[in-house]
Order: sequence, then structure tokens, then C-alpha cells
Amino acid sequence: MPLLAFFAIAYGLVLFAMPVLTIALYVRYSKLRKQLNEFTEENAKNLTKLQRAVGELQSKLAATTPHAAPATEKPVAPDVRQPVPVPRSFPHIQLVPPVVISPRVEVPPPIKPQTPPPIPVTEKRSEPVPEQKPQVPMAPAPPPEPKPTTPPTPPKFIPTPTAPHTPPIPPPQPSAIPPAAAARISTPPPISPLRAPAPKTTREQRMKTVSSIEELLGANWFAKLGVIMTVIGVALLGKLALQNLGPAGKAFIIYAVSIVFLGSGIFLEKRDRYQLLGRVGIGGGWALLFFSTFGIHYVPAMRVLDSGVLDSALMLGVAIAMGAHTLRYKSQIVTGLAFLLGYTTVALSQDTVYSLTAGVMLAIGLVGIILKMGWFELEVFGILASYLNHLYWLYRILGIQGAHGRNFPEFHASLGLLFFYWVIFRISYVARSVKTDFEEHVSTVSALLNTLLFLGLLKFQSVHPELAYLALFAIGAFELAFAILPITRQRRRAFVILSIIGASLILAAVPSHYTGNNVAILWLVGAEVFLAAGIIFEEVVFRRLGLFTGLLVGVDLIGFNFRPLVELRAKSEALALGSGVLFALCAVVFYFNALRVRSRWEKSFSSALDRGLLVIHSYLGAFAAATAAWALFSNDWTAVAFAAIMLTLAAVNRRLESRHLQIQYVLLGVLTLYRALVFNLHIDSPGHTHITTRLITLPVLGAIFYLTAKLAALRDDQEQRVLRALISFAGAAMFGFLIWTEAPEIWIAALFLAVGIILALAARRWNLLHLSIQEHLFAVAAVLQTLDFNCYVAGYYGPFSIRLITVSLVAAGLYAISRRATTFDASYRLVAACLHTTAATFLLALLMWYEVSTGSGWLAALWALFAFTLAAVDRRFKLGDLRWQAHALAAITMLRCVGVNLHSEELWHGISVRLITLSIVALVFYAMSLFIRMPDEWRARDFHHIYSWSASLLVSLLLWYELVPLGRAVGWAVFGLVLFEYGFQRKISQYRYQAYVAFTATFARIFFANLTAGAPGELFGPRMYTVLPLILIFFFVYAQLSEKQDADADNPRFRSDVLVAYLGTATLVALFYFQFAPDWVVTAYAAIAFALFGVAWALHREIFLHQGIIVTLAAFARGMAHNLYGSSYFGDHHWSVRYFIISTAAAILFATLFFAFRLRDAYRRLSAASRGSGFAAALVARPEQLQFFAPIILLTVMLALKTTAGMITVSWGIEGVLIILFALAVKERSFRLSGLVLLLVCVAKVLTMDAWRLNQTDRYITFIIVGVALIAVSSLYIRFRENIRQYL
Amino acid sequence: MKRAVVFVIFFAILGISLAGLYWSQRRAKSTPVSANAVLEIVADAQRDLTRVPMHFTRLSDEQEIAIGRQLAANYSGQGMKLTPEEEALQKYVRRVGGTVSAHAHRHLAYEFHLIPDRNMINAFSLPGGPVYIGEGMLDLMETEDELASILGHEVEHIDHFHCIERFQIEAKLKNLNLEIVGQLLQIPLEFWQAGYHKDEEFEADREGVRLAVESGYSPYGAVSIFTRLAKLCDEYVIQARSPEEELSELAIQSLTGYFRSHPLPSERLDQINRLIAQEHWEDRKSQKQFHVEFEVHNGKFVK
Repeated sequence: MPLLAFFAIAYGLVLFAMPVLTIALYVRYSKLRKQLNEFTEENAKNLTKLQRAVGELQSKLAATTPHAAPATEKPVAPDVRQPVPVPRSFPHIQLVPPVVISPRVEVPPPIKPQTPPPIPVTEKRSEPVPEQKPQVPMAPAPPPEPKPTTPPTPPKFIPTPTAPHTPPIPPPQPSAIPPAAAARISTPPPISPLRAPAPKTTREQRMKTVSSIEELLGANWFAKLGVIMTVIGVALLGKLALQNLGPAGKAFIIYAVSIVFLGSGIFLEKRDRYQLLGRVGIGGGWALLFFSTFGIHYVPAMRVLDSGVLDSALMLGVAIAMGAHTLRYKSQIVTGLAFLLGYTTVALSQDTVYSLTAGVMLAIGLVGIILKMGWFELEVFGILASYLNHLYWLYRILGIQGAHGRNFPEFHASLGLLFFYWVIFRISYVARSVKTDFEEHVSTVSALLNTLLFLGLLKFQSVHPELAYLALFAIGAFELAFAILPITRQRRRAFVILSIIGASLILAAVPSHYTGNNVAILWLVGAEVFLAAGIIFEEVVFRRLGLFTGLLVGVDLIGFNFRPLVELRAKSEALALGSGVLFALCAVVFYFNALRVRSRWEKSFSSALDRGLLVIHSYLGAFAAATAAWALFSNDWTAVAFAAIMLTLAAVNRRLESRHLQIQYVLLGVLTLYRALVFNLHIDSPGHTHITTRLITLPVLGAIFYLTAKLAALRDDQEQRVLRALISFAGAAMFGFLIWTEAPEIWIAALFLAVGIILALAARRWNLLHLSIQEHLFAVAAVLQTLDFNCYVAGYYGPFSIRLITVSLVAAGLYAISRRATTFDASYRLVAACLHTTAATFLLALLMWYEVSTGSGWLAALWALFAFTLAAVDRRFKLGDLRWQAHALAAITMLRCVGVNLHSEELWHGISVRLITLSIVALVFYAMSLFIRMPDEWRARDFHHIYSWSASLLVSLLLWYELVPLGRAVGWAVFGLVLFEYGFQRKISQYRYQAYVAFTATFARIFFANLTAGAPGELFGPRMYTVLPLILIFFFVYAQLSEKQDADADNPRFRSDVLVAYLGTATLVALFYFQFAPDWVVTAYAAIAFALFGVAWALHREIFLHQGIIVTLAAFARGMAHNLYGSSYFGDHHWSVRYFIISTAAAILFATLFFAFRLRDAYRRLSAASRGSGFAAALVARPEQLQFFAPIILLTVMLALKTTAGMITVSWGIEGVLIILFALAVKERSFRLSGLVLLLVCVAKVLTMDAWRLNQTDRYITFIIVGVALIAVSSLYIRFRENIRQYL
Repeated sequence: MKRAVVFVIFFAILGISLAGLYWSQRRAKSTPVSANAVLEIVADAQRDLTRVPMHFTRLSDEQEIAIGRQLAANYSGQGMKLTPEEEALQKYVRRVGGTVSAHAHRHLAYEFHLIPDRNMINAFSLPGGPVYIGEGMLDLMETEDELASILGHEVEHIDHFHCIERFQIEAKLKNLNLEIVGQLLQIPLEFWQAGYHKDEEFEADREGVRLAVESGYSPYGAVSIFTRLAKLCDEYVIQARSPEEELSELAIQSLTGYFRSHPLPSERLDQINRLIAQEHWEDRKSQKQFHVEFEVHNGKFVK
């Protein structure tokens, strides 16, 4: 089993070491490769420079030689050709040289693919033109040809240098080579070699990389692994397989094998191909040799030497020889392999603690080599090997769990060995000379590994765990001692590493022996010691160690010391003196560091890290201070303590002006506020009961907040003002809560307002905006409390209700402070004043609501009077906000009236409350419309008449409710008439507009109640006596308006006279429509048309002419559609229905011609332009046409539809004759033509229809009468030929 | 005008207006507020506008009968199972209807059906001949003359083309193709129950009474049934208590009565009385009692 364990461990070691070693060596390999490349590149550059220099020398030499003489004859041509245009026109050709150069790579064999670029530069310059030759084969020829053949050309070439874009070369090129063909043929060859190298090189490089890895694995690592395996095998042979042999035999064989290894290694190392294998063999041979020397005494099976001392001396000798020999090859691999294998062989065979001395020898040897050769990577493995070797030995003795407090005989020896390892490797770390950062990093790893493994093994073999703190402390002290050694301080990194390790171990020693508060205190002491040392010795490492240790203290405080206090406070408010003192001490120290130390040694803490650490210290100080207060003070006084700390910090910060300190006391303020809210308010106690501590602490807290606010101002900027304001808000909150909790509930609102008034006055005194804002909040609180409580309070003080007194008091306060609620220069002072008075007004309005019984109509009247009062005050004192409140109050009064008063059935002394209150409101509104103050512009736009409109609306609604459905229209009309007369006489247009609205509403109203009222056939019924007055009113209003056309001159687009005139006529038309039977409506309309034409003529009002035309059209349409086509399909049974009605209507319409002709003559003077154009304008211009044709058509159609078939033509013939006669009488051509047309129709009808369809009687009658008619007409034409011609 | 004259006229008009107001306030009978006036004007205009085109697009009687039958088939498919009593009532209605319709101007296939719904106080007709009367309407009647006047009224709606013209307008508005059978289903039954224009109702009243009289019934049957309907109508008049309530009622009336206006029963009654006076039918006061006899055997109507 031990053998198997050994194998396992050894194999594990190998597995562990191999990747690490691989990485390390690969890094090393890469580094060397990089260096090699850099060297190569540098060489190439130098070579390039050299070649350039040689080229320049050659050119200079050529210039100075006698050969240059012929060139002077044509000096321009070569110069022009060389640098200029050809390469520019084919820039890619410049890349050709690498292809050309490629054979020349042989010249500098070591140059890798990176090297070509520099070389082509020189080649590119030397051969730019020849490279063109394959592309433009003819190009070289022409240039020389023109020069000798055309002597005048040289002058032409001379200017070319100054104009490089027009060289002489290009012209022949196009002629010589067709561009497309030349391009196709010539370009591919150069491109393919150009493009080929790049991917080829890359692929080669890639392949080389792959093959190098393969080579590394196959040729290198496989060899090493083979050797390692062989050595281990031989070692095992020595121990186990050769058991039959005697010790000497075994020793001989192993020695022989090791010598063979060593010899063959030395032999192979001399051959390049097997150099690596040979070096591995050398390492393995030396390892076996060392093991053999170790084994001849310490391995019982091989023991041939009794003296341990001699064997140790031999081992030392072998180790020295091994080192000396391997160093010849200057190969870390060889040497490292030898030593590691040496360790391995020792590990295999160790039986006693003394056998570990071989490890000591190896360590000494290894350290020596490391210090000499600077192979610091090797030390990492040496440290690992030494400690792990020892661990394996301990494991075999102690088991997997280690000593675990159990003593074992080899403890002290083991301790000595470990201590020796630690010392020797620490010396190695301290004494070395480091050149590169990489070496320093490796050294740091070694240093850390050394300490960690040392501590780990001490822990594993610990016999007295309770003394661990001593070990830690001692090692830490030693590390610190090493750190401050002069030799160490030459290397800053080593000093820092060792100092940190030492300090860390010393600090770690504390919690391993101490617990509770002592840890924090000791760490705090340590922190201060380090800090002091850092300051004294001006050593930043110590200062930072001190600061970081301080952070450690903070972590301990937060993570361990704070929790018990939280648990304690969760159970009780008992005093926690220990914790309190600790936190207080820490707070003092932290603040001392953060504030005093920093300011005293400012330069020492000038770096950002130091400042940051000190800032954290200050925050830790704040935390510790708050915690201390929490621990040392209980119940209501905790908040006071918090507040006291806050005040103290604010006072200190007044001098230091630290932003972080400000943040801390603000946070403490938040904490104070939270504590006060949660605890000091005693919310869970019965409401409004007296608590002494609350009465004391809340004002104290409020005062502290205000004092802190006074102190809190680093700068005069917005941020600081806000901060200050917030703190003072907290103070205000304290006083607010004090009032809320301690004052009698009924007086809370008044007290709130009182405090607010004091704050407002203070704000004005010291010009502090935030105090005025607090006043606003108190005012809001007062209003809310009033709304929430005072408004609902019942009871009386004497004759006055408590509600009346308290609410009035608050309202009065708000009015009183409204103009002083802000600072003098506050931009919103008017808004604030407005809000105050608005709140007061709102409270008073609400008070009225509560004082008046619910649902009463009197409230609206009260509100209206209140609004009136506000408007009056505004008018007297010019307080604009009151005016707006009056508006608002009037608005809700209006809503109240509409929502409540109109529906009220309440009576007051037998009189309707609705009537009384709405009358009052309406009167008030009318009054307000007259005198309420408004900006002139608004008044000019009649905005004040919103009130009169509202009043009129109320009156209209009141009329609706107070009158029966039939009388509402009349009521509105009368009201409109009154409004109109008032507005007309006082020249107030808005009243007239209201009247027009009332008239329009009246007109609409009659269609829903009045026109359908009364019994059928009733002449003077409700319809008549309610609608006729409206018509009178409309026309009366029209009469007045038409006399003064400028009555509504302020709105020329609105013709009120036209409106009321149309309303009057439309009302009359509607009345007749419903008053008469449907068949007689046409006659009624004709009568109206007659009247309108008469009025238009008599009064010279064109509007009635328009109306007359419209009504005529209506009569015509009605007659046609209703009386003629709308009648029964089966004939009317009564003659009046068939003829009389339409005939009457037609006759009346004919009668209008009397006026129509006169109107035509009267308005003939008006030009067509003023009347416009189109059908309507033509109707107005020639009204007689409509008045003639409308009845004629009606009669004609009537005859067609109502008479028997046989009589139609006869009647039309007679009608035609009469028309012609009439036309001749009135001398109107259109009339005459219509008669003629009618007669022609008769003729056509006779010929096409009557002649074939009528019975005998009708037929001849028709023929006769139509004939007579035609004759008569003919005679008339003959008779009046001359007259007719005049009118053609 | 002089100022004094103006004031005199002003106060005179004011006095007249206040007098009218006073009389209206003193009036015992409350005037109903309705949209009838507006609806009447609108419906009148609509009728006048459509009447002329109707003269020139008249459908033949055969087409009208076909449409009526199709509509009747659709509506009767909605399932109306009659009890023996209702079957007897229907038989009675058919007998009276047949008597009355015999004197119509147009000889169409008049058919009379009972709608077994006691809540239906209405009757309506379809183009071409089908006439329907609700059981609720029959419940109101006390004499056979009343039934004759109502059936005469409905027959005259068909006879005077009211039904078919209305159908034509509706079909035009809905863009229905009369050649496609299924499209007539888009006209719901309620369309026919809604009534006609005021003039058409007057005409149907007038001509319906004339038919009844020509069939041997008393014109006072119409008087008595319209008197009863007028009373019923008065019971349903609701007085609004606020302007908004009144406005909402008016809006509802306007919407439901769009393009249709029903003459008030009082107006219809007035017309009948005038017709009686005009035609000198005052001596025809005797009315036959509304009497239905029937036999039932094994739950089935026999006779």
C-alpha cells in the first residue's frame, strides 16, 4: 500500500508539475522567440540602411565619374522618367518586387517571413521601370526614339517637370496598345505572383506553428516524460525489485544505471539532434545519482553506509556536483529536472525525519543555483517540492487529518525543518536581484507560496492550536523584520509584499486568540500603530496598512459587533454600555483619522486612494457614532442623541467644509427623523393624549434640526439651499407633529396656522425661502385639518357654533398672512397670496355649506353674496386673487343653482325658495356683470357679461320651472323682450344678444309644445294666444332694429334685424301650418306671401320681399306636392278639395303681382352687382316672374289632374287665352310666351290624344274650344301687333 | 318711431304676452311636450318629396301581391300557435275583414290574420293584401263596428298604395333588389307596425270608415274605438320635471318617430266626426256587439 500511495502521489506530482512546467516553458519559449524576431528585424533594418547608404554612395560616385558627361546632353529625360508618372499610373506594380526578390531570400537565411518587407523597399526603388516591361512591351522603345529623331522636342520636355500631369510619355501608349486588350492580357501574370505569396506565407506560417507544437510535444515532452518514467522505474527497482540483491548490489546497480544515464546524456547532448534528450538524460542521471547516495544510508534495503553524516556529506557533494555540472549547460530544464527528480527520489524513500535532510541539501543547492542563475521559476517548483515532500512525510505519520492537537515525537525536528525551508526560501527571495517584471512576478509567487505552505504545514502538524496566534504573530513579525531589512528595501515590491504578509499575519493572529470587542480594539490599535509608523517613517505602505486595518475594524464593527446590538434592541431598550463604549471609541478614532490626521499631515495623504480611505474612515466614524448613540441612549432620547451628533458634525463641518461630513450628518438627520417618527411620536398610544417625553423631545429635536439647518451651508448654491431647506423641514415636521399629537384636536388647525404665520414672518425677517415654504405646508395642514375635523365639529360657544369660530379663525389667518406668506423677492409671492386667499375663501364657502342645512336653496344665495363681497373688496383694494375667487364662487353658485335650486320645492313663508334664491343670484350676477373688476382688454371684449349671460340663463331656467309647458315660450319671449329693450336703450349689445338667444329658444320651443296645443279646429285656442304674441314681439323688435341699423354695428356679420324678422315670419308660417287643415296650408302660405309683398312695398323693406319669395316657393311646392300629387289616387270627393283650395291660393299669388311689379320698379335702380348673380338674385330682381308662373303652373297642373280627361284640353285652352290677354295687359313677354306654349301643348294633345281617345262629346267640345281659343289669340296678336313688337 | 310710441307699443305687446301667459297658466289641461310638430313637418316634407316619383314608378298589382305573400310567408314562419279561442277570433276577424274589403277600390287578395299577443294593441297590413291585428287590440273592442273600422283602416292602407309605396321607398333606401327573393328578409316586421305618415293615416281613417259604412257598419264604431284609444294615449303622457328630462324624451321621440308622424287620437276623432257630418251619417248609430261563438271538441276548434 505505501508503494501504491507513493506511486499515486508521485504521479500526482508529475501531473501537477507538468502543465505548470509546460506553461512556464512555453512562455519562456515564446519570449525567446519574440526576442529572436526582434533581433532579426533589427538586423534587417540595419541591412536596409546599409544598402541605402551603399546605393547613395554609388550614385554619388557615378555622378562624379567622367561617365556622367554624355548625360548632361539630355539631362531632363532620365529625371523625368524616373520618379514620375509610370509608377503612379500602375501603383500595384510596386508590389511586384517581392516576387523578384524571393530567390534572394537565400542570401540571408535566418530572415523569416517578417523580413521581406524592408528589403523590397530598396529593390523597388532600384527597379521601378523594368517591372513595367512585361506589361507594356513597346513602352520602353518610344521614349528614346523621339528624343534623337525630333530635336525640337527637348524644349517641349523641359516644362514637363513643372507640369507632371502632362508628360510626354502617355501619348504613344494609347496608340501602341489598345487599352482593353492590353489590360486583359498583360495584367493577369503580374497579379498572380503578387497575390500568391501572401496566402502562401500565411499558410506556411500556420503549418510551421502546427509543426512546432507537434515537435514540442513529440521531440521534447515525450522525451522528458520517458526519462522521468525511467528514473522512477529505476528508483523502484532499487527499493523493491532488487530485493533479492544485497544492499551493495542494489546500490551498485542503481549507481551504474545513474552513471549510464548521465554518461549517455552527456554523450547525446553534444549532438544537435539529440541535445534535448541528452539534457534530460543528464538531469535524470544526476537525480538517480543523488538518490543512490541518499539510499546507501537512508534506504534500509540499500544501506551500505552506516554514517549518516558521511552520507549527508556525500549527498551535499552530489548536489554540488549536480549543480555545477548542470550549470554548464545553462539550462533551467536540465538543472530543474535534476533537482526535482532528486526530491522525488528522496520522497520515495524517506523513513525518518532525518532522511529529510536530503531535502534540505537540495533546497540549499537549489537556492544557490537560483541566486546565481536567476532561474526564479525553478524556485517555485523547489518550494513546492520541499513543502510537499515534507507534507507527504507528515501525512504518512499523522494521517489525513494531521496532528490535530496530538503530539508526535518528530514535531520539533519537523518544525525546525519547515522553519529552515521558510528561512532559506525567504533569504532567497530577499537576496535576489530581479531585472524584469516577469521575474518579480515569479518571485512574488514564490514569496507567497513560501509563507502559505509554511503556515499550511504548521497547521497540519499543529500540536498546540491555542498557540497558533503566537506563530502567526511571530511569523508576521519575522516577515515585517525581513521587510524592513535594508537589502529588502532595495526592491520595493519585496518590501511591500513582505510588509503586507507580515501585517496580515499579525492582524490574523488577533481573532485567532481574542473574541468580541477585543478584536476590534486590538485591530484598531494595530491600525493606529501602522498609521503612526507610516506617518513617522513617511512610508506609504504602513500608512495604507493602517488605513486598510481601519477598514477591517469597520467590517468587524458592522459584521460582528453591530448584530448583537440589533438583537438586543429588538428585545429591549436596555443600556448596552460595552458596545456603546466600543463604538464611541471607534467613532472618535475614525473621525480623528479622517479629520485631524488628514488635515495635520495633508501631504502624506494627498493620493486619491488615501483620501478615499480616509473618507471611508469618516463614514465608519459616522456609523460608529450613530451606533454608539443607539447603544448608550434609549427610548425617546435615542433620537435626541442622533440629533446631537448631527448638530456636532454640522458644527465641525462649518469649519472643515467637508462634503462627506455633510452627507454623514444629513444621513444622521434622516436617521433621527426616522427614529422620531417611529418612536418619539408614540403613534401607537391613544390619540391626543399627553406624553411628557414627547412634549420635551419633539421641540428639542425641532430646535436641533433648525440649528443644524442654520449651520448647514457649504456654499451659496442651489444644492446647499435645498439641503438646508430639507433639514429645516425636518425641524418643522417635529413642531408639526408636536402640535398634532399634543394639542387639543379642535385647535390643531389654528395652531398649525399660528406656527405657519411665525415661520412666514421669520422668513421675511431673514429672507429664508424655505421657511416660507414651511409656512405654506403648515397652512396646507391647517386647511386639511379644518376640512377633516373642524368642518364636522358640532357644539356651540355661546351663540356661535364651534365650527363657525374655528373655521372662521383659520380663514381669517389665511387672509391675514396671504400678503406676507413669502419672502420679499419670491417670484411666486402672488401665487402664494392667491393660494392663501383661495384656501380661505374655500373654507368660508364650505363653512356656509355646513352651516346651511343640506339641500337648502339658500346656500346658492349666500355664495352669490359672498362672491359679490369678494368682488367688492377686490374693486376697493385691487386684490386680483379675490376677483378670481369671486369668479370661481360664482361658477359653483351657478352649478348649485342648476343642480339643486332649480329642483327645490322648498317654501319660505309660502313663497318658493327657488324663486327667491334664483332671483337673488340672478340679481347678484347682473350686478357683478356691471361692476366686477377686469382688465380693460377683457372688459372691452365683454368678458364681464359672462355674469349677465349666467343670470339670464338662470332666469330662463327659472321660467321653465315656474311656468307650464305652454307658457314657457311666452315667458322666454317676454324675458327676451325686456332684455332687448334694456340693452337697446342702454346700448349694451350683450343684453341684446341674450335677447336674441331667448327669441331663438322661444322659436324652437313652440315646435315642441305650442304649435300642437289645443283642440283640432280651434281658432283662438292656446296655440293662437301663445304664438301670436311671439310674432308681435319679433316684429316689434325688428321694427326698432330696422330703424337703427347701427345697433349691432360692433358685429357687422351678425344682422340681428334679419334674424328677428325671419323668426317672426317663420313663426307665422309655422302657426298657419298647424292652425289650418293640411289642404288649406297652401292658401294660408299664399296669403302670407301676399302680406309680405305688401309689407315689403309699403315699408320699403327688401327683407320682406325675400321672405315673400320664399313663402311663394313654399306655397308652390306645397300645392304641387301635397294638394295636387299628394291627394288621393281615387279622386277627391269634395269640390273644395279638388279646385277651390288651389284656385284660391293661385288667385292670392296672382294678387301679389300688384306689389311684385311695383317692387320690381322700385328696386330696378339697384345694380345686378349689388344683388349678386344666380337664381336667387334673379328672383329678387324680377319678383313678378315667380308670382306669375307659380300660380299658373299650379292651375295648369290642377286642371290636368283634377278635371275629367275630356275637359283638360279645353280648360288649358281657355287658360292659355287668358294668359295671353293678361300678358298683353301687363305688357310682359314671358307671360305671353307661356300662354302660347300652353296653347301649343293643347294642339299637340288634341292631335295625339284627344282626337283618338275622347268620347264623342268631349272630343268635339275640345276641338271647338281649343280652336276658338286659338282664333282668339290670333286675333289678339293681330290686333296688338304693334304693341307686341315693342315688347319683343 | 318716437320714444313714447315705442313704449306704448312695448307695453301693449307686453300686456298681450302676459295675458297669453296668464291664460296658458290658467289652462286646466296640461299640454304635452313632444316632438310631434317637428316630426310632422319632416314627415310631411318626406312624403311630399316621394309622392311625385311614386306616381311614375308604380308596381303592378301582381307584383305587389307577390311581394306581400313573400313577406307574409317570412313573418308567419316565426311561429304563432293559436288556441281554439284564438282560432275562433281569427275566423271572426276574417269574416268581418272579408265583408269590409269587398268594397275596396282595388280587388286584391285581402287576407286577415290574428296575432295571438294580448299586449299588441295594434294592427298593420302588408302590400298586396295581408292584414294583421293584435289580440290586445281586439280586447279593447266592444262592437263589431269598431273591428270593421279598424280593418277598413288597414285595408285602405293597402288599397291607397300606402304599403307598397312605403315598401318601395324602404327598398330604395336599402338598395334591395326586388327580384332576389331573400333580400326582402331585410325588412323587419316592426317596420310595418310603426305606422304611416299623418296624411296617410287620416286618409286610411277616412276611407276605412267609408268602407265600413258601405259594408253596413256604423261610422260610430270608429268614433268609439278612437275615443278609447285617445283615453289610453292620455294615460301615457308623461310630464317632464326638468329641462334635461324633457330634452331626453324629445330626443327619444325624434329618433323613434323619424319620418313618421302619428296623428293624435283627438285629431283623428275630429276628422271622423267631420266626415260623419259631411256625409250625413249621424243616424247610423246602431252597432253590432262584438260576439264570437265557437265550439271545441277534445281541445280542438270545431266551429
